[in-house]
Amino acid sequence: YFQGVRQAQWLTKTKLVEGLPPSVLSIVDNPAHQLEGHEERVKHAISHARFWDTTEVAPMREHYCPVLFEDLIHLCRSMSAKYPSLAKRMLARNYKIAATWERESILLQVRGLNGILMNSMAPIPPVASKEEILATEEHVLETFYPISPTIDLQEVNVYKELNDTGKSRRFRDGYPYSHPHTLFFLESANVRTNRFRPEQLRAKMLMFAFGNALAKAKVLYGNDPKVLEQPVVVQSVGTDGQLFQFMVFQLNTTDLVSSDGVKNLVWIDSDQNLYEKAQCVPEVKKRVVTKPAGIYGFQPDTFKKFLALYLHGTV
Amino acid sequence: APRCTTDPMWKCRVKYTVRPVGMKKTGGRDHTGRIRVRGIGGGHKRRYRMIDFQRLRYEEGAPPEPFTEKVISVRYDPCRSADIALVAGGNRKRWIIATENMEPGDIITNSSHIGRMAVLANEGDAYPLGALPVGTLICNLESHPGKGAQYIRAAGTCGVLLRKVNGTAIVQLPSKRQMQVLETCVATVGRVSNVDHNKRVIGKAGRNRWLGKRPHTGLWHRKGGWAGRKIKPLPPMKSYVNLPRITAQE
Repeated sequence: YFQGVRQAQWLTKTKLVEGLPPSVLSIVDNPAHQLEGHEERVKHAISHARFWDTTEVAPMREHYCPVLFEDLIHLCRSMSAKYPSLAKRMLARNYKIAATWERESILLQVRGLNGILMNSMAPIPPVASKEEILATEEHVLETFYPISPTIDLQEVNVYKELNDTGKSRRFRDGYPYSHPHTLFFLESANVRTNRFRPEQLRAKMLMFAFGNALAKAKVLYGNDPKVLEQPVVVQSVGTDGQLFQFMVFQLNTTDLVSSDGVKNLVWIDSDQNLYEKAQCVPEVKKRVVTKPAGIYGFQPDTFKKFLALYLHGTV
Repeated sequence: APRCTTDPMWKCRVKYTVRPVGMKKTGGRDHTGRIRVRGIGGGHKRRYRMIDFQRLRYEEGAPPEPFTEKVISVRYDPCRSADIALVAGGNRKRWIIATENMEPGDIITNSSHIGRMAVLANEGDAYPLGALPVGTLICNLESHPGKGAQYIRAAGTCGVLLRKVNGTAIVQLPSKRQMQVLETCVATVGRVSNVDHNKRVIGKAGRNRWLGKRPHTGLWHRKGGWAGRKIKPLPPMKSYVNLPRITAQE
């Protein structure tokens, strides 16, 4: 019912821009960054995930979603032959994030298991120019009168305000891969009611990207709320095996108590289908095969954007 | 997912929730197990949505002032003839009985303030009877302030505010009976939704069975004095106001 992304925007003091930022789009269009025969290899990856990986007729979503993700990451990593700085990335799973911030006298927190995080040695350069950042000052956050923006949030008693980039045993200071680069979310619950709708998945991506960016900013620049000189950029990809949501989040300010001033920016490209339908068993009507098994409606652009987000920051 | 209790009294839920709760049908049987009401049984399974009949329920930590809410959706309720509306305000959502012409996206106000002048109320708002002009159509009436609506809740019904006397108000119910209540009792303005409910045609016996009504006995008996149209004067006005007894001075 309720608009997920709009509520997340108010909570994180963010301005929404449709489509991906121009720096990412330039990587998409640049033919030097393509893999040879990448369409063929992506189709192989989809077939592997959707058809070949199981002994039953069709694998369940919680099975094919992570397999597809692994294959796509493998394809992206094979580009590191051309760009050696790509090797300076690492993946972290089962990773807990904790970030706290105050928003108009309400204390908010993002906690919990994150999905899969990809860290890199070098941070992503800011995507928006200084003028765009200053222009967000005029943008007014929308209100949901009479509904309060914190509706449907879980109320918890807080004893310790935690701000953590997953500083467990392995992530201490001096760890080389310290900058959060991209977050990946796999919506792989089997039953449709347990799965997030695309709108809710985008809101979840926004909140977690914001949490990661905020925690990193507090580590770099301290706990005081202020406008950041070097904005922190975190990317995020969410999928349920077929539909992809791409997001680039730029944290411009940690001053979130008031609703005026510089806002954060997010570029969202939503509902990108990698393929329309993956037919496991051929469809037969009256003893005649109408639709043979295979992948229908494959769109190579979705994988190009996935690759562009992966390469962003090093190219 | 809806939660179903396994003990016979399924109505044990204390905390209010918007999600539908699984309910157990009684089949017309009371706690001894024998049939108390004939003709009930079977019918489609229903899930109960907890309706908040007390419109003026303030949130925890909210001041007792007039507040507004937004209607998110209006939907069919299998447990009653009227439609229900999901409204949200502040930090909570609740179900209320929808009035006629309630659309998703409307803003409704709930107030307990009685001013000197009568308020021109919009449909769907809830005001105390003392604040409404005489002659408005109201529904979801309570007999005592804060008790929760118990009258005028069926589809398409409406009561009429007839007059206001001292600190009480007199309302005419849909059965043409008149009722006197304190003017601080809150009622919503407008007719209840699903107005054409009495014009529907059941069409077949099966539809009655889906509604949970079992057939009558087929035994023919001659009708006695209880049958036929009766014309009687209206019963006296029902007063829910405890006026102080006027005792004779010694």
